[in-house]
Amino acid sequence: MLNVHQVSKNFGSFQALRSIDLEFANGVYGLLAPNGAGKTTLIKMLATLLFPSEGEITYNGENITAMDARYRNLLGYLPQQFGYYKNDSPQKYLTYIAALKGMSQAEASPRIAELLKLVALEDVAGKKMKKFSGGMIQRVGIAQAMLNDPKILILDEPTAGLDPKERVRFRNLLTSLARDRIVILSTHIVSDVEPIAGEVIMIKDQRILYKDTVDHLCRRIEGRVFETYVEHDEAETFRSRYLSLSEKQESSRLKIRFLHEGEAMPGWTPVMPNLEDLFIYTYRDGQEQEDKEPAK
Amino acid sequence: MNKNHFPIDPPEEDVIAAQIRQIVDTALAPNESFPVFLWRMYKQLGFRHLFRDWTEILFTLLLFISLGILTALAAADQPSFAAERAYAFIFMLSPLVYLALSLLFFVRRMQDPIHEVEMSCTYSGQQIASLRMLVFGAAALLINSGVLIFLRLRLDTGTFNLPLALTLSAASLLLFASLFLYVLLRVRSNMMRIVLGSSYAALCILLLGPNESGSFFSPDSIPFYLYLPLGALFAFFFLKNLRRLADLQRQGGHFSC
Repeated sequence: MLNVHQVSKNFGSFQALRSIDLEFANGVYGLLAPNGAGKTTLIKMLATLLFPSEGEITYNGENITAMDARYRNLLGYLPQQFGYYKNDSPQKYLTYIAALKGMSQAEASPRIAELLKLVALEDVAGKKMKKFSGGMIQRVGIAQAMLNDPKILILDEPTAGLDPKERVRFRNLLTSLARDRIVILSTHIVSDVEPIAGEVIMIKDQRILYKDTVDHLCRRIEGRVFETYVEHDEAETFRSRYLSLSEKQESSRLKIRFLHEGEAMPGWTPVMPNLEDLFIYTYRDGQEQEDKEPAK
Repeated sequence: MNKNHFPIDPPEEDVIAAQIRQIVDTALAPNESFPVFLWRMYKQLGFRHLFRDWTEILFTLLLFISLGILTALAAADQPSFAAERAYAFIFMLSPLVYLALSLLFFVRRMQDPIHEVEMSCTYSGQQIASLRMLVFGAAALLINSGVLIFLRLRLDTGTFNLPLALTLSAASLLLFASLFLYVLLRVRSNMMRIVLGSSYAALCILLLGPNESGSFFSPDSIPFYLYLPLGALFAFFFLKNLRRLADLQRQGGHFSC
């Protein structure tokens, strides 16, 4: 069990996170918030790359900073900006990371072969990564995070650069992995989280706003999401009055999915809200904030 | 059975204490000493992962060859070099070799794209850095010793004291290496680091550099056996700073360069 107790993080006078309390058991957790909301700060603290200014993070009751290598032994981490040496092949790179993870050559070799197959890179295992596409690089990153068969798998924006087929494969992989481990998936892409997350955590104003199942979260705005058809010349007025969630061109009119907190009007069809609706509703006031974490 | 009449006396205090000790000793992993930890890490990583790639190995070899050539030229062109300047040259040369090796590592570290992944591994980036600094120290000692043996072969044997040269070289390297790590860990500002480094160089030149009445300090005025305890003292501080570097993440900090 991974616990976050009253954790705050300050960068000088800027407070990136305030009094965070979280509890993670085995399963997939989606950490959902716009860029700059503090997701990466929280992820980095869980990966021991940053340390709480206040509070503590514990694994099975023990402070993860004090656990040091014992904690990192349990950890698989894919950073948001996954770096690699361009002249390395996936095989060489994974061998290096396996050594850093304390794996012997005898343990590492079959595991690397298994993972390269899993992420469909076995045919290019010996090729230099400088010629790889973004999706291929990301798959190497996923493989390195899983090298030590981690009990805690932390992935920051893992699907960036993956094509739709790869995304589906990746989601299925995470679901199978989550049976006996904690998987924390940080993203601002709702569709990455909705199908697989047992619980979704949403951060707003440096605090945890919600931590709940997708169904329960969506019920928060049940009865407030509608669809209707609008003529093109009325669309601008409509958008200024209601929160538009999505729009689709249908024949000569626009089909608008929108949110309204009041009585329904004739011609409006109530629909079941989804996580994306809640996301847009929750973060409707703020455009994407600038990442205020100071450069180190 | 009536549990209120269970016929066993409670254990004595010392039995309780002994059993607690046994449970705690069994549950807690024994503390590993720092040298043992470094050795285990070295065995795990192996030589091939200590250097990032062949460019670092090539740089080390080139440094060694260049120093050999430079020393040979200096010894050949200046007959007075051996008698008057050799020890000052050694005192300044030793740290420079270490500095060259370390700076290459830290400059590359600044551009290291996989820093975050390294920091989340069992052996953190800082622990690997500490092992590398130790290996660089050993490599610099070896390079310097090679240069000194070369000098000994080239110069008049009557004027060049090899044991003194070797102990002086080791002591000056360990002094510089421990100061280097101390500044790296304690001083945050890069500008201040440069100022301190330049001050060290200026002080060496001032103390050891030639002037009209010789130099302010002549390293050979101290007998070589006194450099042994000095070297041991500097080695202690060097290892202490290495340990601090390796433990930094556990203590909730990172160093930047």
